[in-house]
Amino acid sequence: MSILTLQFGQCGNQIGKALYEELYSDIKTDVSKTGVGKKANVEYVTESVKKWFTVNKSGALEVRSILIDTESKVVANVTANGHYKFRNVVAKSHGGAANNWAYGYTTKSELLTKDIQDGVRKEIERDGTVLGIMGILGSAGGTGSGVGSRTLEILRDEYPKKLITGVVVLPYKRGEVVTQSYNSLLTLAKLCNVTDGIYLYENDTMHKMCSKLLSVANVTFLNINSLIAQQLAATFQPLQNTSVWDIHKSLTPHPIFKLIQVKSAPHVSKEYLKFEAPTTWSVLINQIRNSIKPDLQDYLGKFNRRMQCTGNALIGRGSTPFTADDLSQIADSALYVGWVPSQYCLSNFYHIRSFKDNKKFVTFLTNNNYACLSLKGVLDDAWTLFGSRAYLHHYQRFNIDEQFFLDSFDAFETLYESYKGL
Amino acid sequence: MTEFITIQVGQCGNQIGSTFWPAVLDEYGFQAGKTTRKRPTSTNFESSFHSFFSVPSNNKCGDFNTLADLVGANVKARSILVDMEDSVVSKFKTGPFRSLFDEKCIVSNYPGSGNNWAEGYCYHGPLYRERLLNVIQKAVDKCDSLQGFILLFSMGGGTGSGLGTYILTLLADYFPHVERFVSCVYPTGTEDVITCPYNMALATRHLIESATCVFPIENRALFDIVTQTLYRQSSIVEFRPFFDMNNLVTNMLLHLTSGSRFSGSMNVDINEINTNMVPFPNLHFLSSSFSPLTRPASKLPPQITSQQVKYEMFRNSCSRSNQLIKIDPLGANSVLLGSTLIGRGDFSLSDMRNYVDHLQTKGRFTHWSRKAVKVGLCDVPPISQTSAILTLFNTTAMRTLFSYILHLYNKLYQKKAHVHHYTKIAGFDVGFFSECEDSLLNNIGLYTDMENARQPN
Repeated sequence: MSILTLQFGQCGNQIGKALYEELYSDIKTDVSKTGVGKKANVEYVTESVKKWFTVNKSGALEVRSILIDTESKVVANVTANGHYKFRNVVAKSHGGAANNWAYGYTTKSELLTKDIQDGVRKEIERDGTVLGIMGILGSAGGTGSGVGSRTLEILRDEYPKKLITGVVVLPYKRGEVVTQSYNSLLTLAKLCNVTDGIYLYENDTMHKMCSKLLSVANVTFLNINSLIAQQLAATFQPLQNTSVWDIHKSLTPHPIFKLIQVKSAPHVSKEYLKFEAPTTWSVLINQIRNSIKPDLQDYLGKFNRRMQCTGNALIGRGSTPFTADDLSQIADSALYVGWVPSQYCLSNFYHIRSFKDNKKFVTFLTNNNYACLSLKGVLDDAWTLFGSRAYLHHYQRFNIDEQFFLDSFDAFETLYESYKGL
Repeated sequence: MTEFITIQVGQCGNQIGSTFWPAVLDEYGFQAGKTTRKRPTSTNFESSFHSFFSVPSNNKCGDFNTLADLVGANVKARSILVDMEDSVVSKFKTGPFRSLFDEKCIVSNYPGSGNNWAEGYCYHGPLYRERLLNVIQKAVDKCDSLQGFILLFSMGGGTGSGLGTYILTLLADYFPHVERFVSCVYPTGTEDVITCPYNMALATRHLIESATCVFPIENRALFDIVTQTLYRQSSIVEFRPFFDMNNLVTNMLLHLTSGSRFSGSMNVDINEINTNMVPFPNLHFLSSSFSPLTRPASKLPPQITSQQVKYEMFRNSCSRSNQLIKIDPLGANSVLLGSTLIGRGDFSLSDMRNYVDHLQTKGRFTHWSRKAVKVGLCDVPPISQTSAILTLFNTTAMRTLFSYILHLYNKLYQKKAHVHHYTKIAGFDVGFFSECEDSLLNNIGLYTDMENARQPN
């Protein structure tokens, strides 16, 4: 069962590029390091290739992905790779969307969506195995956020039964783009409506992980993107008797709660790795437990509620399965909202084959009330701008009027309040 | 592949152009008389070269190594030259770069406008309208995805200010969806023409109404930079003020367009500047500055730029003495409505984030504009440098430029001096005077409102 990714804009294409590099290096991991026999590894690799790639007539791997950008510069970079090919590039080079969601959503998308739809249809009809569509985009700019929102909206109509998810990266809070709060607000308000789930990332959090855990002195987008890619790969690589639907079902029990955060362990710099003792699941799960709690200093205002999850999933890759003891750390019923039956709170998945050369690797997908903190940052900034009516004329130029904004604020606030009230 | 068409009007515009184009080619590695090309690293030459040059479709840009190759392949700069006499334009016709300019895109032999805005705008504009539109249309037809026009002219004389703003309004009428960026020189401090205040005021009104973004430049600021900063550097022994002043403008334009010409991990296309820097209509005048301020050197400094030097560059580019107009973005009269920092070369994401922090503590903001900082990174540094930084500010201190123009204008207009030169031109309505005054006053008022709305520190 395969996954089709759509990479939108500069951020989406860079993460997409990193994702396939990560997958490729996992596939190519030396069999002696995988912890399984040759035959089991071949099975795993075959399944993985089926999931993310197709093999063309000459035997070369082609990525199941559509690259979408309004500028050909970034896409050109992504496609330059010797190991596998990118078949679908939709880059009508008519200039960027000027950091303006409205420009991307109402205008730029007009030029692109037909080609994207054709591409998606071809991919889906190719061998009938595509189960899910995953859109990857950054919410700050105009292309990824605007064109991405519009495309996923259209695809939702066309494929009501496919699993459509978004990977959304929120920009640095202190700013990359002046209109980023508007763009993020409009994106999330739209995507929460049309997707089945959103994997929510924050550049700030990832930046911190890079500098603190991986000891990267000068963090670049390359570091951040490859970390995100690693987490996505470790989540969606094949699991025994599990499809993406199974993982997904357990995480989103209620149509309003669709924001999924991803944690993973271990993350240590290469230097430390030499001195690390073989680790156990319970150590890793403990690390994850500690990393869930956000650094509240980063967020404005006080939020001192306990963590409340609507659903969590734990995915382990390594030589031994989880024991009940390992899981107990995050199975505590106090962590979960009352209305979720206890047997659905925490699901766990497992594959014996290692992820790349990590003896044990665990990813933790969590849907919990702390998501409201990320939302609050966006909401506050957007209200501040909107209160002065600043920058609105750029959006009005592309037919996004005040009423559209107010409706999006409304949807976004409902989402925020729901998470806050968990 | 975003494309830009540059329109140079009048003597000043064409002079800037005459240094701009060789410098652009230089950044791509083409030099007059050289037979090899030193390619800048990590660029997508193939796609970015199209932004400013039209390449006949059967050629691959990667094959070009010398200027002669470009000429041979019939590569043309996306540029339109308009001037009254052959004087400056003729340089383009004879210099080593002559074949890069399409003869069809040169509008010359145009009679002078007598230092009179009205003659340029009301008489010559309509007279040359068809010819101008033809030339513009030809240039537009060569583009796949035209992003913007970049207009270069001076605000003091008749041709630049009059015909320049006439072309601007033509573009607004005929190409409403293409952005219009104007880089114009206010001849302050050297107002050698008595009617200059009228010309500046009348032209500024049209910049307020029809431009997407304006990057104003003041002569007196250029002069001060050249005499007080540049000529104190020990490496400079020969003083060539006009050359250096034009060079400053050229460098600013090079930095400004760098994101559209080269790749970067945080690419800033020029059309993003409008969205990020203009919070409200009409407030689209941006102060620009860059660092380091040097003449193009002959060889590359040996090592990568240290943190300390980079930080100095950032600080200098925010300082009063580096601004291309006479304002102080971090001073007492300035409330910042928007800021852009574009690092070229060695700058990293972390550097830029530090600078944003500095800026946010040093500057004064409205309650919503503190976070209005746009950051960009371009991989390719300027020629013979390892790094450089460009900063743009949308500041309420821009008010002082408008006040200054209005002040000069009032001095003349109170006595109705020289008014008859304007009113005698058919098509000039005497109401234009009061309208431009209102327009300036209105913008001053908008800035003052913003200043009053600022957040107490």
